[in-house]
Amino acid sequence: MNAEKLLEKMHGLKSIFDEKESELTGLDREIGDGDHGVNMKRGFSAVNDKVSAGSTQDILKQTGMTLMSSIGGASGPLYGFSFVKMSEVAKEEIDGENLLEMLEVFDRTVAEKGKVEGGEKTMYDVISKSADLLRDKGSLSLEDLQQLAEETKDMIATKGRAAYFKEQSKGTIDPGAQSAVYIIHALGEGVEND
Amino acid sequence: MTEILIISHSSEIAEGTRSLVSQMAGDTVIHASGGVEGGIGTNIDQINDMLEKIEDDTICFYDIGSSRMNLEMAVEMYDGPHQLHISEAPIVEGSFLAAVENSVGSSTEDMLEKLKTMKK
Repeated sequence: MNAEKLLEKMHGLKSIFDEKESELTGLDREIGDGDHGVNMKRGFSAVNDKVSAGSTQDILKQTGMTLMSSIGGASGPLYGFSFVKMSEVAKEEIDGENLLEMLEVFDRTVAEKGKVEGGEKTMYDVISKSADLLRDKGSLSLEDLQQLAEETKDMIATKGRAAYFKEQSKGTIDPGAQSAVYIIHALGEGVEND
Repeated sequence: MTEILIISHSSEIAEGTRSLVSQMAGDTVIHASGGVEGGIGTNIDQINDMLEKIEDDTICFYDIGSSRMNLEMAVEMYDGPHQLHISEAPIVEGSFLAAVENSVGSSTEDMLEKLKTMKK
C-alpha cells in the first residue's frame, strides 16, 4: 500500500463512519453515553477535510493529530495517538510485514495509554488480536475482524464508561471494539501478509 | 524557576486553583486550563497550547479521567527545550506545595520528591 492508497483509505473512513453512525451510537447508548457514533463521524470528517497529501508517515501522523483534536471521550486520544505512533514505523510502501509492525505499535499504544488489558470489553479486544489474525490468516477480512468484536458481546466491562453498567454491559458489542473493526479493516484491506 | 501547569476538566477548578496558589506564591508562573469549548473536558490541543507558553522546567498536575491520558500524550509529543514532569499529587494540594517550595528556592527535583508523598 503506497501513500496514495493509504490516503484514499483514510478518506474512505468518513463514508464508513457516516454510514455506521447510528449503529455505533446505538451500541454506545446501551452501555455508554451515546456519543461514539457522532464522535467517530466527526473525527473522520475532519480527517477527510484536513489530511490531503504527503508520505505514508505524514498521512498517518496528520490523521492522528486530527483525530486527537476532533474526537471526544477517550477514543479520540487513543486512536489519534496510535496513528501518530504508527507513523513512526510505517514504510513508504506498507506491506504485510510492515502492517504487522504497525498493529503491534497500535496494540502497545492503546495498552499503555489506555491502561487496558484484554477481556475488559474495550477497543483493545479487537486491536490486540488483529496482529495475530493477520499472522494466522494472511489478511484482515471484515468477517474475521467482526468476529473479534462479537467476542466482546459476552464480556462484562471493567474499563471505561461501560464499566459502570457492570453485569448489564453483557449482551452488547463494545462500541469501541466495533469502531476498531472499521479502522483496522481500512488499514489492512489489500495488504497481504505472505 | 520551575513553572506549574494545571489541567482540569473544569475551567473553574483550573482558575480557582490558580488564584488559591497565587495568594501564597504569586511570583510562580502557573499555567492553568480547564474545560473544552465552554463545557467540561480536557483535550490535547488545550494542553499543547499551554506547553507552547512554558519558559522553564515544569511540573504538571491533572485531575480525573482522561486528563492524565491527554497530558501524557502531550508531554510525550512535546519537543521544546524544557523538562516536563507529571505529578501524581492532587492538583490543589500538589500545586500549592510546589508553588510554596518554589518561593523558598527548592529545586525541581526536591519538589518532585516532596510531591511523591502526596498521592491521590
